[in-house]
Amino acid sequence: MVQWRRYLGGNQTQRAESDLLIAVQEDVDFLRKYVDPLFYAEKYPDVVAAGQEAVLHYCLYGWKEMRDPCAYFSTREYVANSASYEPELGNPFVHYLKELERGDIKKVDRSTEEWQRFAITGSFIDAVGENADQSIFVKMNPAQKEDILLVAENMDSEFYLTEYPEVADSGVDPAVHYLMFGWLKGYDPSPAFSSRYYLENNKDVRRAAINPYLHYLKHGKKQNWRKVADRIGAEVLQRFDRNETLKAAVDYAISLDPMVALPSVNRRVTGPPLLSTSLAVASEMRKRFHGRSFEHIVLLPHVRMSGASKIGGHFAHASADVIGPEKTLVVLCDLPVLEHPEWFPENVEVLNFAELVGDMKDGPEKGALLYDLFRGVNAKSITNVNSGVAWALFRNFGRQLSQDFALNCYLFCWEENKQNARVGYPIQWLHDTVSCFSKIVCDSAFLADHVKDRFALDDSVVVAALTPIDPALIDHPSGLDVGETTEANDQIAMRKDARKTILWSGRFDRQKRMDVLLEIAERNPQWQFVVYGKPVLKDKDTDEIVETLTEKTNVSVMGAYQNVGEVLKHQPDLFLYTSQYDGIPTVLLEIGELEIPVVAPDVGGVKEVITADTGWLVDVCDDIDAYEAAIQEMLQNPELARIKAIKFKELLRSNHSVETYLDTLKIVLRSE
Amino acid sequence: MPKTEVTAIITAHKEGRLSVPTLKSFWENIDLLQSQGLSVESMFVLDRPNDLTLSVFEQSARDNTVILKTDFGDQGKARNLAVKKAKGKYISFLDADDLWSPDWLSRAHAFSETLNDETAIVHPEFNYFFEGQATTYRHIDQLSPEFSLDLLRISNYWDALCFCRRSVFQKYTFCDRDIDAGWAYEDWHWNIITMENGCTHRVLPDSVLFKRRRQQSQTMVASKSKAKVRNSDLFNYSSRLYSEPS
Repeated sequence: MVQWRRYLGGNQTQRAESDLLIAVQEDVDFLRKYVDPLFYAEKYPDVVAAGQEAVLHYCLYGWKEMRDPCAYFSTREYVANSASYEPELGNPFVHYLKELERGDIKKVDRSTEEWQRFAITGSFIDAVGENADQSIFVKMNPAQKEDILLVAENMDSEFYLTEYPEVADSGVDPAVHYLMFGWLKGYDPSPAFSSRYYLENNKDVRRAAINPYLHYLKHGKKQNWRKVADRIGAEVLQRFDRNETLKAAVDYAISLDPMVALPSVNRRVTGPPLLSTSLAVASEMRKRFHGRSFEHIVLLPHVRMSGASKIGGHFAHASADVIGPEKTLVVLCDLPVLEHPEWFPENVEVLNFAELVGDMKDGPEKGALLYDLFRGVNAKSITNVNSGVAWALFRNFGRQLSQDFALNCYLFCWEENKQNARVGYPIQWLHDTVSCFSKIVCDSAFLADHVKDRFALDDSVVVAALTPIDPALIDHPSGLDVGETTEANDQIAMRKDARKTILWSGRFDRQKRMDVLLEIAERNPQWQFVVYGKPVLKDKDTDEIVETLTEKTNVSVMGAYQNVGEVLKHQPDLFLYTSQYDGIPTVLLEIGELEIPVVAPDVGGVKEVITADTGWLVDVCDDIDAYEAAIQEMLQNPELARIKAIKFKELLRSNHSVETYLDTLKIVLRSE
Repeated sequence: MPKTEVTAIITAHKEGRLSVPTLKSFWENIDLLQSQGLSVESMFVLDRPNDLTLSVFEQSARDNTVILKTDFGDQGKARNLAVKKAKGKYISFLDADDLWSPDWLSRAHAFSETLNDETAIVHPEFNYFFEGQATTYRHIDQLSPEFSLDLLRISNYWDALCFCRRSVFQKYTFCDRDIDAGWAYEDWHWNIITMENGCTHRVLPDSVLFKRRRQQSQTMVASKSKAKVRNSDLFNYSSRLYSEPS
C-alpha cells in the first residue's frame, strides 16, 4: 500500500486514492501473474523512475496510454482488431484473457492474419516446468525475416531435420519451424543449445514466453550471467538437480569442505569435444591418409599470386625430386586458396588444411591438428614457407616438434613498423624458435648473413636460396601497339613523344616509400611516371599519397599488372624502385628480365642484384637528390643504361635461374 | 589374515590442510569397504612434502597405514612406487586435495567385480571441479558410441584417479613428467598406452570425484608450459588400431 501511495503522488487526496485503487483492485489481482515487470521496466523506464509497480501502473494508466503489459500482448493492436472489445469494457488485457478462458478467443485470433495468438497449455508448459493450471500465452506473429535469418545462420539444420523427422516430412524450413513451433515443443535448434534449459533457468525469458534461442542470439550470449547449456550439459545439470545419488554426493562433499560449493557461478558441463570441428578434421585427415606416410611436408599459407606461394611450388618440386613425389605433402595452412595448382608437381598431394578447418580461429586448436597430421603421416621433415599458423605452432611446440621431426623454415625479409623497428618472422618469431630448426633458408645472402650473425649460426644451418625468375612465365610483347584504339594508349603514345618515361611498380604500402616517388615526380614535371601496383596493407598515409599522385598530370597510376610484360607498352626508359627495406624484390628480377635499366636504393638484398655494373644504386632510400642524379645520369647515357640492363639480365640468368635454385633446395633436403 | 582386496592410495605434496577433508573422505570410503567384509590397505605417498603436509598425514595415519616418503617431485614416479609397494588386488588413487564420494571405493569395487574383466579401468562418471572453477567434466565410457580414437589423439578422456587391478598399474607404469622437454599429461599418456594394449576404460554411472582446481594445479602448470602428450602408436594414422579407415 505504501508503494501505491507513492505512485499516486502526494497531491492526491486520501479519498481519491482510495477510490482509484478500489476500482482497479480486481484487475490488479487478476493481472498480477500476467503483467511482466521486467518487460514493463525495460520498455517504460519512466515507470521505473517513479518507483511504480508495473501491474498497478498498467491497470490505472498503462492500457489507456496504449502501453503493453508484456511482450506477447499488444494493447493497441488488440483494441484496434478485436471484434468483441469496446472501450467501455475497460482493461483490454483483462478482456482478452477472460475471452481466452471462455474459449471465445478463437474468434479474436482469426480476426486478422497478422495478429494470431496461440494458447499453449501442453508441451510448452511441460517443457518449462510451469504449473499445469497456469496458462502461457504466446503471441505468434509470422516469424520476422531477420529472425529467421539469424536463427538459420546459427542453428544446425541438419541436426534439426534428423532429430525431428516430422519437420523434414512437412517441408517447412527448419528455422521457421523452430521459431513458430519447435521451441514450444521443447525442440533444440542444435546440439549446442538446449531450449528447455534456457527457459527453465531464465525466468524472465520464460515468463515473457520469448523464443529462447532467438533471445540467446540477440541478448543472452552477451549476458554472462545467463544460464545456458548444450543438450548434454543440460542433461547433466538436470541429473545433478534430480538424481538422489549425485545430489547426495555433492551434499556430502560440501559437508566436508564448503569450498566445494564455490565459486558461486553458473556451473558448466565440459567433456571431450565430441561435436567439435577438431574431431571432424582429425577424423577426416586420418581416414584420408590411412595407410600412407609422407617423409616431407611443405607448409604454405595459401597458393595465390605471391612470392611465398611460388617458393612453395619450387620446394615441392625439389622435394619430389629428392624425396619422391609420393613422399611429399603440401599443406595450405592459413587460407583455403589454391589458385595455382600448376605450380606443384602433378603427383604431389596438396592438402587444403585451411579449407578443412573452415572458420576455426587461429590458435591452439589449429596447431594441435597440424601436430596430429605430422604424427599421423609419420613425417620426417617439415618446412614452413611463411605460414602464420605454422609459425604459431612452432613457437608454442617447437621444442617438442624438433625432437620428432627435422624442422625447416623459409625466411623472407622482415618488415619495419612505423617506429622503424624491424618486425616479422625473421625477427621476433625466429627469436623464439631458432633453436628448433635444422635448416633456415633465406631468400637472400643479405638475410642469411644477418641470421648467421645474429644467432651465431653457420652455413650448416643457414642457407641462402636466391629467389629464381622463370623467363618462361614472362610475356615479351613487341612494344607499344599504336594501332590500339583506347584513348589511354593514345595519350600515352603522345606523351611518350614529349617526355622520358619512368616506370615504378610495387605494393602501395608504406614499405615502398611512395612519398619518395611523389616528391621526385613533383620536382620533375619533365618526366612522365607510370605507376603500377595496388595497396595490400591498410595505410592511410600511403592512400593519401596515391591520391595525390593520381592528380598529378605527369603521373599515370595503373592497377597491378597480370604479367610484367604489360609494362613494355609504355616504352619505359628506366625503372625506379624506392623501397625502405627489402630482400631481393621479385619485381626487380622481373624488370631485369625485360632489360629495363634500374635505379634502386641500397637496402636489404637489393645490392645483390643491383651494382655499379647492373644499374644505379642509391645509398639512402629517401635521398631525393641522389635519385634525381642517378636518373639524370641514366637518361643522359642511354647506351650505358642499355649495357647495364643487359648485364643485369645476365646476372639474373646466372644466379637466379630455376635450375640453380632447385639445386640449392635439393642440397638442403638431402642434408637432412 | 584375509587377502588385501583394495589398496587405497593418496599421493601428497604440499597440500597442507587442504588434505583434511580429503582424508575424511578417504577414511570414510575405507571404513565402508571394510564394513562390507573386505580387507583394505591404506597408503600415503608423500613426495617432497612440506612440514605441514607431513604433519597432517602423520596425524591421520592409522596403525597399519603404509607411509612412503619420496623425493621424486614427480607424480608419475610417486604413483609407480606406490604400485610396487601395494598389496591389494585393486588400486585406487586419490590426490591429496581432492575428495571421493563416500561410496566410491565400494561401488567401484562392486562394479569391477561385476565386469569380470581384469583389464577394466573404472572411472567416475563425473569430475566435479570446485574452488577455482565451477565445471563438471563428463567422462565417457570407452564402449559408448561417443568414444572415438580420433578424439583421444587430440583430447584426453579420463584422468588417472581411477579404480583398477593392481596388475594393470604394474604392467603399464606412468611415464616420467619432463616439462623442460615439453612432455607432460602423463594421465593422458597412460590412458592411451593402456587402451592401445587392450585395457578398457569404463565409467561407473552416477559417480563423482570432487577435484579442487587451484591456480597451481599440475594440469595448469602443464598447460602453461605448453606441454604435449608423448607420441605413441595411436597417433599414427596407419596404426593397427584403425583397422580400417571407417
